[in-house]
Amino acid sequence: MSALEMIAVTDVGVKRDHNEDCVGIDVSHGIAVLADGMGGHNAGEVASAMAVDLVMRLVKDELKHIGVGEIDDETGFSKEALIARHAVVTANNAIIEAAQANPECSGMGTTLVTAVFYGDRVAVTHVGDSRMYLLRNEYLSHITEDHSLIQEQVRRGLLTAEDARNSSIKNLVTRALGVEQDVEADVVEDIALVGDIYMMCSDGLTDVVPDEAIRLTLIEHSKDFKKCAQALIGLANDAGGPDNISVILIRVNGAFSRRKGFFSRLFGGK
Amino acid sequence: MSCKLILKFKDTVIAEYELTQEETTIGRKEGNTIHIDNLAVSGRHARILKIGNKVILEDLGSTNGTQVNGKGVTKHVLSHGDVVTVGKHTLTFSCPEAGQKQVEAEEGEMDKTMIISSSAREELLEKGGASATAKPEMVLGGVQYLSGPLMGKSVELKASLTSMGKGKNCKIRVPGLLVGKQAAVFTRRPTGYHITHLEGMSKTKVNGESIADHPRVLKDGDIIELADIKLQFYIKS
Repeated sequence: MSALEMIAVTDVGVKRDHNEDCVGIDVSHGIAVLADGMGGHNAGEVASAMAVDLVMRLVKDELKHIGVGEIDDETGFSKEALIARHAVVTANNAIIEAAQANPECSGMGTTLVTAVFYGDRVAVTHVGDSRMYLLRNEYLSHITEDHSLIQEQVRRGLLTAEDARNSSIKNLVTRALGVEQDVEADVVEDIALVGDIYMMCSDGLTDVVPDEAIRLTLIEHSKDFKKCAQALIGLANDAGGPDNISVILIRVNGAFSRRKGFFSRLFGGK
Repeated sequence: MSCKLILKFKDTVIAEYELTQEETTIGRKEGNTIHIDNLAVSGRHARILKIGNKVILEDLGSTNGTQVNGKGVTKHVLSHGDVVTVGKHTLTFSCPEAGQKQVEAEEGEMDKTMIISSSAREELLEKGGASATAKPEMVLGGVQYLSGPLMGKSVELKASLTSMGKGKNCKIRVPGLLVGKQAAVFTRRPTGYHITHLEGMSKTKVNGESIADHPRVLKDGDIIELADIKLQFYIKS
């Protein structure tokens, strides 16, 4: 049994005719990336695909040059987290450039959530309203907090969580890739314990499926990821499927050691 | 994009409003951008948001509802020539640039995620009465020992993850037969500090209460206990 088990599924939903979400997983390097594209004349899918492709590649390449779980004294983050955050900045610039070069891509953008597993830890980077959850001992918690107008209003005490659920402007994101030069990705690091299930998803799931339904589904199908992901997408589609739905599930079976790169092998990296 | 609303009452033009702000509110109460003093209009009846190249009308739960071209709406992307009815008044939306595309826009358009610019975001948040700081910095905090041999000593929690337990790798060492190697972990997040109990028979407590294995947000002054060690959490900046 490998230390990490991952599955990524994306579905167009019921109401849309094309899918602007994009997902990517690399089990051997412990990387998972999910993006929800938007804007432009259907160029959202260009933005999300660029983001996933670039971030996966950049992170994978950079991981070769570091040991596992080294902490950067300046920021207090792991090198893994900083690599992921840097990849987000690079992807942001690439998307902005592509939009400037291709008029049909003008106005495109994307959310992004990235997980990099190392040892018994995980570094999560995110921009926008795509989320990461953790199911541990049947308790579901939010790892990320949305960069949305609603969430900022809640954080500043202008709205209660209840108001937020009923709000009609849930889908205004305040941060995204492809919008401004200085994108700021939030970083959260956590311990990944054996038995943990991490779930990444686009708002196509969370806008229409309550946390409790997600929790129960994750518990019910925890042994069969394929069924689990399909059940989650089914819930969103049964609720009208107004948006594209993407889900990445990751189960932690043990401490993860990524496939070592040439350099770290050469220099005896951990 | 210059757009305006023409306020009419029974075909008589009363006023014209340029939509210059990100948010324009319509209602009976004073303080609304478009103030209509008529009992058929709710205090805060509706609002109009300018987001990117879209102009969105949103009913704010008004008593008598909001109609566009005679049809009740809760949220609607406005197109050039749309007639918005609130109570007995009408507002004609004039905006040649916001024209054609929106007419073709699908019904589901409103479910699509949209990005708002940072300036629009600040404006919308300030409207709500909050002082909008551009980019909130991650706060820095720490813990101070209130018991044991290290009593009085402070440990800054600068790393994104700081472990507590009897293991060698823990920054906060807590001895005890029943204490887990990595009994608990402090995580420093953009939203503040969390503590999560991970392992060991000795349970981590916050303010005298066991936190089980659910992550818990830490507040300035919280008391954390594990076995014989007592710590006080503080926010530094």
